[in-house]
Amino acid sequence: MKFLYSDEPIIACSTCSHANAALAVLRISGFQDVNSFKKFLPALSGPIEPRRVYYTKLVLQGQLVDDICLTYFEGPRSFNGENILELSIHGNTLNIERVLDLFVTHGGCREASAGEFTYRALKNKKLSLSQVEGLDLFLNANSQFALGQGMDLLSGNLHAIYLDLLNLFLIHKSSLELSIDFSDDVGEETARKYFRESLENFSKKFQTLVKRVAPIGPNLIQPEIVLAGLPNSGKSSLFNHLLSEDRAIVSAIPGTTRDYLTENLMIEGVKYKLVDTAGIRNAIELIESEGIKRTKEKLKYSFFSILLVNPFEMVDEFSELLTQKFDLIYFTHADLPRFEDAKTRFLRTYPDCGPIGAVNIKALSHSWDLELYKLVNNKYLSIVASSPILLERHKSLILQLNTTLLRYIDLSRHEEDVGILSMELNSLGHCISELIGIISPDDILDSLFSNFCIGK
Amino acid sequence: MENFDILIVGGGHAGIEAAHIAAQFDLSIGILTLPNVPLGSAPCNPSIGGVGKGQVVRELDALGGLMGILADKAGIQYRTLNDSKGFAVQSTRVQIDKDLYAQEAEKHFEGLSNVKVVREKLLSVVESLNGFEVTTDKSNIRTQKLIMTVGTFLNGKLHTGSKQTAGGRIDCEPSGSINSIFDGIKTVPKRFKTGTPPRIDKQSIDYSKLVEQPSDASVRNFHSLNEPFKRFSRQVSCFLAHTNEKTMSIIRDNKESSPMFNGQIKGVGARYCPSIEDKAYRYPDKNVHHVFIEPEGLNSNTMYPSGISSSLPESIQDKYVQSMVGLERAKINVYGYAVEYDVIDTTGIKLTLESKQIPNLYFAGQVNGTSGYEEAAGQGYISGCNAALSLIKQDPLILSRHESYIGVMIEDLTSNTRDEPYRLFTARSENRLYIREDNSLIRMNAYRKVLRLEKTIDKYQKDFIKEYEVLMKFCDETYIPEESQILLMLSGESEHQQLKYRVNISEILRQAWIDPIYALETILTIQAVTLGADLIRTVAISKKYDGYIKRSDSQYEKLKKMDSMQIDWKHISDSKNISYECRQRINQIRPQTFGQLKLIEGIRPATLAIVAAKAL
Repeated sequence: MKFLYSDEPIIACSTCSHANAALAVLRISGFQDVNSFKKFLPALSGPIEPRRVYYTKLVLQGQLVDDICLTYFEGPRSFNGENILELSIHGNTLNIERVLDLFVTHGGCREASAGEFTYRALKNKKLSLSQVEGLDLFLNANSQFALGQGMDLLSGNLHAIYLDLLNLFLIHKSSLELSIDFSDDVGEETARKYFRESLENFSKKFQTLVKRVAPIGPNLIQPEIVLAGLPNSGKSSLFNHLLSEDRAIVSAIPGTTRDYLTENLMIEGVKYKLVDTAGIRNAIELIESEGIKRTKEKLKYSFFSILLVNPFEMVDEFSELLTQKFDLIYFTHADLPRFEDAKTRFLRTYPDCGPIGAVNIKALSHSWDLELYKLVNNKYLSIVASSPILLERHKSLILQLNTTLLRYIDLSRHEEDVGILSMELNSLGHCISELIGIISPDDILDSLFSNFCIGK
Repeated sequence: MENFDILIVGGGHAGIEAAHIAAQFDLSIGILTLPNVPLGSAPCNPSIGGVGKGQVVRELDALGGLMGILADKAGIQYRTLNDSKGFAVQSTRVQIDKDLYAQEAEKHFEGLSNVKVVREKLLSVVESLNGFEVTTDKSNIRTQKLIMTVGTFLNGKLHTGSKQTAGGRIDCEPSGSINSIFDGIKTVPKRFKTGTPPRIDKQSIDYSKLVEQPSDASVRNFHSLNEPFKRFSRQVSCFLAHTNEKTMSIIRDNKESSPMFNGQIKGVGARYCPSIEDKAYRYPDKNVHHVFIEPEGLNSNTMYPSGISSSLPESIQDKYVQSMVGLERAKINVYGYAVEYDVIDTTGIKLTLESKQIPNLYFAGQVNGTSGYEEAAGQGYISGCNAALSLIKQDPLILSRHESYIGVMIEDLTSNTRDEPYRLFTARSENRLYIREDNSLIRMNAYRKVLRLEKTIDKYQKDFIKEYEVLMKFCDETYIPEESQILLMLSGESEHQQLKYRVNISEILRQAWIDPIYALETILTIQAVTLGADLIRTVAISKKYDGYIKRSDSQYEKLKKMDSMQIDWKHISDSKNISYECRQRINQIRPQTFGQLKLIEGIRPATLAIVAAKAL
């Protein structure tokens, strides 16, 4: 992170889509005096006042560049605590390039690195680390829930829970110190009581957090619906039907979809990624076996998995595939004779493969979709009901904290040496401060800020 | 005109400790103290040691200091605090006979030909070419080094109810402000406040209604050259009394008369040492507080009630004291009072306690914002030793915070402006399992050795260390077979898992279910090895914590590497990337290393991240 300690003014386009649009918003942050930009704004008379919108002309060396609107946010009362100038310009990509170039070449600005605006907000204590993570979540959210949790972190609700936890930890830690340094003043009995009570309070509060962390669970930030099945089982047909377009190549030759295809699918306000995987068969062709490997990988992190089964093809691969449970099984080839026999045979062999959906894949009707959507949405609702914590970093820290806490509670029951006990308690403290971001190892910051789109 | 190498202003616990160590370098030392105040007097509680503080006294003793010697001589009740909580947090506390303590201090310096006690009042100091010229009410003194240990006397003011008197303590005139003596020495903007309880007539207490705490004969003396369990004075008891609802309501009903709460006192008291008023008003639901009734001396006719310091008017002090069981007829001989005083901004002094602004001037003790005799003595030693080392052109003595509570204190003091009186707690140390009483000698020997003073204590330490190393090695190299009777004996009735394999002695001592001292004594007896009890104890406890200490050491090494990284404070404070407050702090304190920067209060994590990223 080279930008950690460079403090020149930075500029970036905050609406970067790399496509022409009606408008684009550019932001400049960290300059000393807003009026130093007035050389490009000859039509403005008088100083630029904060929190007012000006409609004016952007001019370089006598040449009109663009008609713009600008707003000045004076630090520290701005998003990141610095002076910020926000320009609304016309959104042609060439025009954006030209205006950026103007400020870089003639205005003393530098193009911002990814996440740099936010980094400055963090640095100026406008945001906490978990709030920054919340912002990331908020801006990249694919579901109402993720959006909500992003906002939760951003407005500090989850952060407030963490701070509560920190506070209860400090109370417990001080109860231990009390029993060492002040047991004479408060009495042995009272000190022990404080110790027990404060540990209980901490542990109780912490349990509410642990409940929100499933050890391994579907990715809720970008939930995926994965279609799997043997080659030629009809995955691509279903994929196309759900998207109502011919995105996947449908053909009768097995193994056509060699890699997976993805498209977005909205169900009840949640944006899912629909994934069509390669047919699963240990093919001789290298590219196809690679596709199978990736299918299994996809299934592992899927939010909702659908298996398509041709009951007439009872090949060995099923036994491997069906080691995991699917959310839904569709049987195909129902139009062939003796389909029911084949289906019964299949279900006898794999009785626990998952719930069975409709049977005739060829006769796809709209009511089918609705049934599928309902199943997907129900699963979504049941998962978010426990308001799980989405961020991987938080999840793994909370689990780590849980292990450390259990060990500590166990130790506190029989260890009489308070020195040893307090040493163990310190390692608990390290976990907590990492969660809250008071002590933030550089690599967290690094990965965090590199996940940011320029100009946020 | 009198001429000294080192002149110490003040003969309290900091002053005499400074004089004692400096005198060992054969320099000429002067102690300038007020005519009516004895050396080493104890104006507050009559005890030496306590949690964290006991460690300081033993560190001082291992460094060749004075406090342990005097405390043993004057000790009239011994106790180990945290006895049942593990070796790491155990501390010794000795009740002292205050008069005896002061007499021993006077006697000690009478026996030193190179220390002169000057009983005059300091008027002014002028910096001169080779140090300072000091003017007192009676004479002029020239000195190369000047150590100020003026306690609570700077602009001191006493409060009892609405009665206010100028003074450093009861019956003592105050000094003026520090700037009437030196230019450019900064004080902390808020004055500090401390208090002391009323003293009760010994004969007026009904001891039969109180819980008696007799002296514990199994507690070791502080001074390593004394027989551990020898007592130099008759032993007496302390007593435990309690406040009750009536006591607390008397205090609550008279909030208006309390100088601390009606606005008369503006100074900041220590949160850890609350007056009885603090306890009453801040914890309205709690009525029962411990009050330890401690003897002030064998021949003194007063008792010191620890835990009820107060600045309430005299009539109210009478009332609340007499509301307690056992104290119904208590007669107060001296009323409690609070004292407000100026303290030095300790960010202006170096780790040697020398002033950054005025070379050759040192500050130690309560004037630096600390409370407690032991904290004062620790600083006295560091200032006196470094003044002497500087005169004989030797490297300064700086104790690591990783190895001593004195080191923790000095670093805490010099890296921050204190906003309340500073007291040592074991919680201030990151290395509590290592900084113990039992291994003070092991921890301090390297520091004592570099002073190159060949005294009796140095010879003793040399032998002790040699035996310590032999026994440590013996524990590592001697294996006990698993079928050995020793293991069976040690585990006794214990349900814990027994050792099922061949182990060395060190491994046995580490087991949680074994008392390491008893175990090592037993093993050595069976092996027919005879060694001193103190040595066995030190080795046994060291082995018990070995694993934990190694773990903490490795974390510390990582930190130290980072912390010892040199930084350019000037450059950092110029960076626009760092918040204004942080830059202010950095400019003020001028940290030399990343570690010092980190210790500054109010430095934001972002600032540290920026500096760290830049340096890496």
